[in-house]
Amino acid sequence: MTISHEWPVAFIGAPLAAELPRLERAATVIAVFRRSCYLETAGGRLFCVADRNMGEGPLTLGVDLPPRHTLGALGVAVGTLLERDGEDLRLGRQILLRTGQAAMWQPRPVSNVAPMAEIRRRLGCLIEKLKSYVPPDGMAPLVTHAGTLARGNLPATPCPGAVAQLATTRVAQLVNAVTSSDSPKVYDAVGSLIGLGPGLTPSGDDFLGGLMVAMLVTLRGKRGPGGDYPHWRGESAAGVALENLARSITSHSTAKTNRISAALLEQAVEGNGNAAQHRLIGCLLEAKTTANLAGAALDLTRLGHTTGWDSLAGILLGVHLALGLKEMGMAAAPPTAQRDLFSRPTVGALA
Amino acid sequence: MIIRNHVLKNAYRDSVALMRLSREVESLEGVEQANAIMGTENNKDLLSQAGLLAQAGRSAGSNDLIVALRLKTIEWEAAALEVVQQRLASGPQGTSGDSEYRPRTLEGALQLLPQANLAIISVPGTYAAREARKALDSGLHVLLFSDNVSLEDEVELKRRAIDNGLFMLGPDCGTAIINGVPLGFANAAPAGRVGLVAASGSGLQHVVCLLAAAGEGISHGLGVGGRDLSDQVGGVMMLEGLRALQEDPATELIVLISKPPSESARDGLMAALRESAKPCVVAFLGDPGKTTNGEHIFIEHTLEAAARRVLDLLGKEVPAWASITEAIRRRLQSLSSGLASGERRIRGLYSGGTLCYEALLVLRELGHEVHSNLEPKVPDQPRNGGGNSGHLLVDLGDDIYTVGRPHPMIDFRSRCHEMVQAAADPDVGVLLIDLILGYGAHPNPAADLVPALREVQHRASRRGGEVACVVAMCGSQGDPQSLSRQEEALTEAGAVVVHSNALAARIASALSRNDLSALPQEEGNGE
Repeated sequence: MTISHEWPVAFIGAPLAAELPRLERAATVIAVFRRSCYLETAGGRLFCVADRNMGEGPLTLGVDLPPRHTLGALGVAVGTLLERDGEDLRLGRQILLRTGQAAMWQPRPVSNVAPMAEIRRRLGCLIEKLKSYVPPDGMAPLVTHAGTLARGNLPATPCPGAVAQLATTRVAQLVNAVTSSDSPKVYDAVGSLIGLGPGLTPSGDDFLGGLMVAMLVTLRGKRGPGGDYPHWRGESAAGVALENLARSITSHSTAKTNRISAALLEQAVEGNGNAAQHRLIGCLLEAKTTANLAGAALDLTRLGHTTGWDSLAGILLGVHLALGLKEMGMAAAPPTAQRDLFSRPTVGALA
Repeated sequence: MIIRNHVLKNAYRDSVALMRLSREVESLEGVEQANAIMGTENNKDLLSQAGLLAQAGRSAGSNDLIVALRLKTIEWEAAALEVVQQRLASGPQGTSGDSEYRPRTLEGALQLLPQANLAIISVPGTYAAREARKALDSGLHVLLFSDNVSLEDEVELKRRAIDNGLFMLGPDCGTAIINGVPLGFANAAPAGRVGLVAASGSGLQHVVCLLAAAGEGISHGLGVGGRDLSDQVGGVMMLEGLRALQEDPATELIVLISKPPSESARDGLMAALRESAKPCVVAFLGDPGKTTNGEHIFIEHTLEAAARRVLDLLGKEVPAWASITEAIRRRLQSLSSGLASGERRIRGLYSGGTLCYEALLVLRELGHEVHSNLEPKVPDQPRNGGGNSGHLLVDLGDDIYTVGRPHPMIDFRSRCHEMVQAAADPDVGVLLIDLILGYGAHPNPAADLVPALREVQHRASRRGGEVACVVAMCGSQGDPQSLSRQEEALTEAGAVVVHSNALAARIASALSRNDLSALPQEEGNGE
């Protein structure tokens, strides 16, 4: 069968752009949706080929997919191969993805962070605007209580929905564990959220992903090559919090959620979220911005069924929590015994 | 109660597909609960806590999909599994085509339909102005269904639209009929010569239905949003609608409908009407004005009178909707004689704000003391505007009744609840409700109303009284709910059904006073 469809690739997420040149053998489709599919490389790495209108992401190869086309109708199925064809990529037998004009996508960093009081004001305004529209599904109801939960408290009235009710207590436990630098409790609390709730990417995963990206951007943390946070290492509650969260998420996601969600969480602990997440975080944090905060929130909530709302809840809590940790300032490093759970006998490890 | 789990290994379906699958399976009669969820440890705990985890589900892994079912009887399992298999089999591998692709953004939608010239926007109010702006900037006319849009945004959006030669219908615009295509809440209407512009959705619908009953159709019906004729907005979109209908060759007669406009909006409209080459019927309900004596401008004060004037100008006979049949008269006599003297208060429960308002005006014109939540709140007055005396008309489309709930035209729960509550009030002897049919409205209102009517009679008889229920039915023969079937079902349940809202209010007044003599009788036997 000859190539019958040639589609230009509009963008490639930066982490994926770094991986693709290393693609020696074919990647295999493991999941197909109407306008996107997930693939796995020979090395076990996951990425996504999708209609560009679905938005940019760290693992996304965004394609100018013509309207009315669905991948399934063009022969893409579980097991279909994606192979190199010169500079381009051939997906199955009919589709050629032209990469020549593809731009690398990465989120714009926050250049100038607004004062904390202003960020808190924006959080409060946004939550107030969103209150009447929050659905009862997944962890969406936690949007309304982000401020309360960030203080480690439970909301005065229970959230609607079984998942949100269960998650509220667990999130409060997580926050208390993070702010007291209690690694084992962070580990347990993260474990109680990963894989929880509806959706291909369960609500708990989307929540933790949003939380992690928001905290990393707010605290300007970036993991070093050794896997830790050199700027914060052992120096502050913020640094310990980021480490505890990242390691717990990484540790649990392998076993406690599906591969697609785990791949996205792996990016989140690097601070790599999708475009809608970063746009919203930018609106919250950037000192001088004319962007529409509520509009950015709407764009995010459009993702999936509850994915967008769950992620939003995580982002709002993440920004709140990060501000609180910043205010705690340069706290003393927690006792060595509590950090031993994750200590690694390598150069540069926590001493 | 039977619990079953169906496990699909390594099955990935997007979140929306999983949600739809759950709902579709749950809609089967024998399925009490269905949940399609990934088989992670935490989700299995969730299912277990909900009593939905079975042996098969316990062995599912994180990459597996569990479809958990709570069935009334085991016989329903096969039907449920058939739906699951059909839905999952036809999922992402389905054929391409319009029905498969649902764009999530305006840009995606325009890619699919580049020739589109209208965007209908229905998102939460906080976001609506932004989406409308994007649509206008893309060169599209806009029908903004959303409410809770600020007045400032409305003014800016309408100015932006006019500057670009576009329409901005709304916000809070629920109704339009353009080139015969019903949009939002709208009724089936034949194509015809009458063009309408209305700052009132239910008002537009009611006049369209009254005309359709006479066999008279419409060219276009444009809803412009309830605040269009305010001082701040200035009637700009009604003026645009008027201009467009002037230029439309299919339109021979124009109708304008609104509650009383602001002084400046009215002046602007009247100046434009004086220049009109086509006859114009103006229904500004409750407007104290000022009848103009133009040869081609006719001012009326009820929707029924406006429809009657249109038919008169077009040389058409007014059908039976303005009078009562002999059968209805006999029914009313029986009801009236059954009401105790102290049991004559009217409780109106409306889904259409304009219909509620028209009823209020009719009753006051007949000398009744009437309260309503439509009017500015007076301190110490109950939430629904009721005082200790007089009748009470409630617009159930008011925000306080609709937060977190669908509109009462779609969801009858709040109305049925209020009907039953009213029946328990010993002073209430007459219930007055509107029933708006058409596209977008409840698919079978009688299914909800008939049980409520029976409960109303039961409650009334428990207190030793009776309640007469009068229904103003706004619908046309082509509406999906079947006008005649709805009328039959409600009449059988004891309601008095008429097709003019103003007439329904007059009937309620007559029952309240136990005096049917003023009611117009249909000519002939009327059976």
